[in-house]
Amino acid sequence: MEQHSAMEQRSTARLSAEQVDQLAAALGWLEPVTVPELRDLDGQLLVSDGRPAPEYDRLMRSFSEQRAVILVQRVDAQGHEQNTTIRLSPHGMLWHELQNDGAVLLRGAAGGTLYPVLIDGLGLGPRPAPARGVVPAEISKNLMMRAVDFSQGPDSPAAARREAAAAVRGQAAQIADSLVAGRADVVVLAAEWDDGAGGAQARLMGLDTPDGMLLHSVERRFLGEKHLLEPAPAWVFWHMAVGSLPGAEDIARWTGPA
Amino acid sequence: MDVTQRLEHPRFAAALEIPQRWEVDLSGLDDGLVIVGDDRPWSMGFVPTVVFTQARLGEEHSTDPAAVLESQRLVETTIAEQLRDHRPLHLDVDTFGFHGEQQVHGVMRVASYTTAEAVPVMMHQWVARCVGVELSMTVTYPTVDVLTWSEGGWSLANTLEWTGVS
Repeated sequence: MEQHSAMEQRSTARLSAEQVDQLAAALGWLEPVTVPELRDLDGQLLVSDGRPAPEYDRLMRSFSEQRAVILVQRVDAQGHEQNTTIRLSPHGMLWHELQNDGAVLLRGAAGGTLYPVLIDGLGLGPRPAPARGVVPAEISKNLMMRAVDFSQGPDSPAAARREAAAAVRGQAAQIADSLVAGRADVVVLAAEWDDGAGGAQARLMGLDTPDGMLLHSVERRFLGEKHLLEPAPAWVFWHMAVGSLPGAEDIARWTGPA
Repeated sequence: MDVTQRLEHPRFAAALEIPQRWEVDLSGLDDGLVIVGDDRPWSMGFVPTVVFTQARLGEEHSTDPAAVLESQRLVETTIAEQLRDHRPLHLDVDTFGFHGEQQVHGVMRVASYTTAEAVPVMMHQWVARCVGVELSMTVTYPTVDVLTWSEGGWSLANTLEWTGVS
């Protein structure tokens, strides 16, 4: 069983974005540098002489001993992003929430909290179920990336959403209408983790509208690949998301004896 | 394919094939309750279960899936209040087994929650009205085992036979 300080463990810390980088450095996670002391925005002592303050031991170890990092993103038709970064470690999980004032709230919890945090970050919930047996629609290779790329303004992502609408109109006319009307968010799940064999990665994307979801998938071909969009209930997206993340064996290896 | 046993009883409104090793508890049948569980724990020590509830219907109850969906929407708030970390993922019309050659239409619900023992679990539930009975089937399993159990539950729901209560 893991040992932490007998002191009651604090599970939140509020930092500026710059302080998140300083924290990584202080804990020797990035380029090791000397950070004699780091306090959060509320004045709480997090790190002293490169070591976590006793009451932040678990939270800091969750930060510095991560075995997996999961990025969850939701991007609406105007380019507004909702991002959640989750780190899994032998000491539990930690996630970053961006607050309205630009501060980053670090929150720690037991590993089982991962799933509600993921569902909230992805914004999944009941949507109208699609008809069964619908054939997936083929889309261009970079459509999903264009749908979230607002770096050159809103025209390119809007065009990508219209292109997605045209592709699925035959299968899901109401979802297509929502896409054209700008009532669609792109949801993205990206993960990297220690699988004991050099590292593993996963990526899942979808389009979420009030009239239903579209699940993005890539069909590998002998020569090249085929990108598809398929109407799917939110629970199928969730099934794919959980199935693509570290499994029970990974977690047992992280928390088991060295 | 796994060896199976047939779950059926004259006072149970449905019949279905389940793995031979699963344990069946019919002791609550007088109250409309049938509990089926794996004989071994899965992740985090949780034993997946399939729980059936059945209740006789009066003539005032429509078998229309839209009516079943409406009644299930009414209990969503209660479910949310009772289950820790409850996150609803799906509630809509779906098929739930066969009556003879005909597919039976009802409602499917999917939700995520955390048990009292702090195990994150998934709940897949089907509810339909047929042969004078409202029958529900709830499959509960550890979330991390989703790949095996979500398809397994879906398969049970789509092969179940409505047999009626004698």
